Amino acid sequence: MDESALPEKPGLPWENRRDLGFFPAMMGTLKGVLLEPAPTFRDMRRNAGIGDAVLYTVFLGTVGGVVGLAWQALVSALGPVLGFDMGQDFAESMIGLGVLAVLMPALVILGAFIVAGVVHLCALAFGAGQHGFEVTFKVVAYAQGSTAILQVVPIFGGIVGFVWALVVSVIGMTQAQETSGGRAAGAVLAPVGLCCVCWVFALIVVIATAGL
Amino acid sequence: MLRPVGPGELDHERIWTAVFFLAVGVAIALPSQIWERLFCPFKLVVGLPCPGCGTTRMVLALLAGEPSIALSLNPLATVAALGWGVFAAYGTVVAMGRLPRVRLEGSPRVWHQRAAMMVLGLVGVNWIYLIAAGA
Repeated sequence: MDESALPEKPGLPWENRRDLGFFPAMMGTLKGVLLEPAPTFRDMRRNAGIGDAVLYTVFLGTVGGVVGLAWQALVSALGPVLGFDMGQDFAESMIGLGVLAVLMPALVILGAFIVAGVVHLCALAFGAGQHGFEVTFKVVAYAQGSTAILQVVPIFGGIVGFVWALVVSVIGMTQAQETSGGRAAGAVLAPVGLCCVCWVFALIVVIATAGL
Repeated sequence: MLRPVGPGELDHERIWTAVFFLAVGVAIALPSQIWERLFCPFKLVVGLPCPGCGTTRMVLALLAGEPSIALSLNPLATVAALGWGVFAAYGTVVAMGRLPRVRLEGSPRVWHQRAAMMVLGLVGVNWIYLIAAGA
């Protein structure tokens, strides 16, 4: 399909941040993706590049991930006081968490691309990828970035965010790829059901947050 | 056919080459205690390996220069990782040399669907191997 022949979409608030301002655009996109994903993703631009989506998910994913690691560090530090043993050397645990915090932006980027790649492969198989990889990536990036901030809630935030990201991704793929809900659900949920490796980057942060 | 990247077109060579080198860097930088804490939720619940089981051990084997061990842990993931490396080498050359890219033009959408289903079929065959091998 010749995308250039289609009328340009209005775009998410984040895609119009030069007019709206950085934080108003971020909050508008966050609210839209989490609470009104259908109209939000319907307005998402299809062929404006992936730079905006990468920046959005890296920023929010890093903030959420680092806060999640901070909760884990707090639990580790309070373990002896609260009467339980984390089962590993405290200093070694803190070093590991510190390294994860430094690597968090890279982990977020890798997670977004690998997940989007697997989801788009499944989307092609289910006939739900007619508008190309760019659209799939942007749906995954905005869904993951928006739900990553839920990790500010200790223990359950990461798990709730993971499930919410799946729901938002299905709705986003339905609207942005202009496909049926069933095909979009197949594209998003098949990797979860069949291959948990692609979620390993999300799991790293969930594990760290939940102290598993 | 060979042609330059069109206006507004995603530069897949640059993107996936950059992601490849980022993945290698992260794999090297992650401390062993993080790798050791990764587990397979599918295997924990169902008792069978998931299609991706063995991938983290495969990555560590490849980084240690043991491709034969990597292949035994997860053949499809090993081939995919090595193939990604070959693509990254091609991507580096065409991006730095500003050379035209390989593009499959005019292929019907149904071919994309069939190719994707073939890849998923290979994932299924690989999964059967992992279950039989007791991964």
